[in-house]
Amino acid sequence: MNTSRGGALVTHGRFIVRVAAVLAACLTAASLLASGVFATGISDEARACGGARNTVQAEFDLASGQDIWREFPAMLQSPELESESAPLHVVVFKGDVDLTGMVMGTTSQVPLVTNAVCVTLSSGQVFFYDGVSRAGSRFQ
Amino acid sequence: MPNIRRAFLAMMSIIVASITALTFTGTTLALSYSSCVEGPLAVNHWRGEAVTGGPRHGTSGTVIGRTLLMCSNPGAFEVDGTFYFSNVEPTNGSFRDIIQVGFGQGRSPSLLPGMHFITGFGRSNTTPGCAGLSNVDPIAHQAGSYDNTSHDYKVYHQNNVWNLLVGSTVKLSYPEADLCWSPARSSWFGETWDSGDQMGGTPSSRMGVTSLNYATAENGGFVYTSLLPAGSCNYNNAPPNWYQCDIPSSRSIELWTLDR
Repeated sequence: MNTSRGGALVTHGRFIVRVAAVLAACLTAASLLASGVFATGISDEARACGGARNTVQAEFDLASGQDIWREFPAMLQSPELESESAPLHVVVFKGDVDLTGMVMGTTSQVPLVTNAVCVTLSSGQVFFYDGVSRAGSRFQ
Repeated sequence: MPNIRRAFLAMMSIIVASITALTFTGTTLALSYSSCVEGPLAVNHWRGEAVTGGPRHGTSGTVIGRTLLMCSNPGAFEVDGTFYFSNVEPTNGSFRDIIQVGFGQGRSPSLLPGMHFITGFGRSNTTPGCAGLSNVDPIAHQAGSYDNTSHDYKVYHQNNVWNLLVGSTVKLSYPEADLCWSPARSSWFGETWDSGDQMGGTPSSRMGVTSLNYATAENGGFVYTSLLPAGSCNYNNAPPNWYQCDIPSSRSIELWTLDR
């Protein structure tokens, strides 16, 4: 009897340990994914734009800066893109974008921004836009 | 059964402790302010000197080669960094409105590790002069690996472009049309993203920013600042009091962090 009861206890204990281990692994993996530590499937340009910790809706290349208005017809003026004749890479974000660990200068609390689009020129120069209107765009 | 319950409770405690430690290592291990304390929620702290009073078409300051140190005991999800910048800004702008060049390093999913030259540029369509233009956020652009030697960090409006120079090397240029706000403030400041990061130097080895000078016109000559030597600099966002900045002479400031 005692042996049988002890065996049941051991079995229960092992089961609990296994469940706990799986639970811990899942929670840890989820946390790491959310933080961007293990982010996969995004380009270097998207990473530099903060894609590892925010939701990338789409990435694509354009032949020139003026093509951005085909994708975002209601986007406000951007002299740096209007004059850009070389190919560029575009990262479109969905929802709130956390600029923590990206934005510099005189802001105490790094804000969340929305409707963000990050453009990397062929020179490597990066322009991070927020508040880009999605009106008339395929990105809603 | 009590044994099973005890084992279960023990395991749950271990799980909770593990997750908490992974998530908030920087906070839970913060034994002093040199430890990372703000975790994944970076807060910008800056301290330095600003000069206003007219148009600004250039800002320049020289800093000796120096590795800027970040906080210790970073958590798994830490965001922090430490930087120096020479800047031109408006006096009536938003957080976005700045053009800057400097150096530093950060822990962030968007930054490569190690010391780099850093540039930034931004504008906001709510700032006077910028209506109709897209918002650009001043994100950190790593403009090459840092060489740990003395350089002049200069923002200069020159021949219809805004150049960001390290010494005589143009790291990045922006057409003048990109900058819609009125450049009216020259500033030199240290910046950190976690109150545990070191700003500038130490009490025994302060980081000097020397030969502070600025230009009041495009292509204009630079004039040295005439700061009043004083115990404290005039430009900050109420950072922790261990971040210090003094004015030792009319054309220099010193930045350092106490107890380092």
